[in-house]
Amino acid sequence: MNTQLKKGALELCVLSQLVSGDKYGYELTERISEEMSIASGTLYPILRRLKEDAYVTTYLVESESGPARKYYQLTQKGREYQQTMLQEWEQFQTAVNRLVRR
Amino acid sequence: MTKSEYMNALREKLQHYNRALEMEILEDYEQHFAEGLAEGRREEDIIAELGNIDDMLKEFSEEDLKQELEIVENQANQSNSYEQLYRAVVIEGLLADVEITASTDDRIWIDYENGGSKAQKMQYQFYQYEQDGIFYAGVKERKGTDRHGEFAPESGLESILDVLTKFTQFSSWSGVDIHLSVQIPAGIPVIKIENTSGDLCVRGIQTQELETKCVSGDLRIEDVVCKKFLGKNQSGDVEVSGIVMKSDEDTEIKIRTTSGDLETREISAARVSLHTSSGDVSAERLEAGSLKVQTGSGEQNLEDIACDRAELRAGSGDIDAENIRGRELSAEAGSGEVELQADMEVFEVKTGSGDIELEAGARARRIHMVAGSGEISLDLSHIEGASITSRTGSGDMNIRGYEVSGRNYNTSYNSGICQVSLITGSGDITVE
Repeated sequence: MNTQLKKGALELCVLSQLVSGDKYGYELTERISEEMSIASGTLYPILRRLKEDAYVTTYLVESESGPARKYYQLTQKGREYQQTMLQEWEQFQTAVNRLVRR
Repeated sequence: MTKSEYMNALREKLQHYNRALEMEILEDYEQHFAEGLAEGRREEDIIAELGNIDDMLKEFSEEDLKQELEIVENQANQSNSYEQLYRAVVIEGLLADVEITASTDDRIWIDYENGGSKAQKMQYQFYQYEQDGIFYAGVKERKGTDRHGEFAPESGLESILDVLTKFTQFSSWSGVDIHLSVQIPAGIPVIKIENTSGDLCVRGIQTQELETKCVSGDLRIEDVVCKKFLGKNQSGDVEVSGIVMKSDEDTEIKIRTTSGDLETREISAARVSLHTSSGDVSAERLEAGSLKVQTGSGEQNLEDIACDRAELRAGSGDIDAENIRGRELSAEAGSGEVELQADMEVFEVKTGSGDIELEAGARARRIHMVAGSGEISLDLSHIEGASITSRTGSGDMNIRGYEVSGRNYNTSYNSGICQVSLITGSGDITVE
């Protein structure tokens, strides 16, 4: 798949997963790799970029399994971005669907 | 491939990226492994899931690569990089023996070893994270293994098991074998270390502010460069050697212990304060603008001290100070004795029931001594000229090296360059 397209799609997936509630890295990567075969590792740079662009913030919570868990939380800016991306995605999807079926 | 091989490869490749990124990704991966392993998954499965490292790195852009400028700066002054990244390092050892030393490069290195029983390995774990520019690392108790809290067994058997577990946990305290060694680069402004039952050793580090807190463990500090050191110990002993700070800057060394002994050697700062409740204090080769030593029932042993102003306070312990040079010395003991051999300008010495023995140097200008029921011995053979007041309630007074004659209960001499006033309640005054 085109890397730019994939990048955008992954970003949308990550942001959308956070709409319903905060998640920590492992939880998030597990959820996404349930649905698609990607290397979980590639999600961490995406998460980091989303944080740098202020679409998400992080906070730490102590965990029983090892080092503290880093939770990701959507910012207001992130919510708006997710909405915009989702609309664009739906338009794109509709267009692609129409084009590939005839 | 094992986890450590994979992590090493990751670390190697991340070196080309800026440090904040490097640290964050390493942590993310460590966390990922920890979660996966906790779910009972195998290392190689987790590695397969995380995938190819180079693919992951493709997600980063050119901007994330370590800037040429940064590398040059790092070579010029290695302390810079971390100074900018972290404003503090906080280490919590809990029951581990902790050793803090200087890093040979500009990174923080940590070595955690848990060589204890299986139960202990299960019960304690290492953690590290960073937040708001502060790097945290240490040992903590795993949740769910603390059986000291609520005690509500369902059956008699469980209650026995619970007691047994408590017992074995307790007995394992004596055989604690957890070591945490941390290497910290120079230039991080604040370093804080807390420990409970483990010993703490800090050696050769450079920082602005060092703070240590120990409960029952001993504290040892050697050759540290900083501007402020605060040490707090409860029952553990403290041994400090080689903290040299500039006395013309706002520098401070403050050490408190409850029952532990406190021993210092070769320390200097604008302000030095040593305080114990029942422990002893001993100081050797100390330099300070102002020095405060306070003990409860412990003794004070001071040797080779240079300070502008010294304030020594003891409850029931003795004060023994030898070769003290400076301007002003004030010593007070309750029931303890005070023995001073000092070359200061001004002396204020008071005791309750303890004796006073003073050998003053040539610098003495004013000596004021009051003893309740104790004896006073005063050696004035080095004095060139001073105003002296010496008063005791029922004790005797012995004056040496000063040419006066007579034997009185209430005598005032004004002879030559010295002004001496000696007063005792019922004791004898002897002037040799």
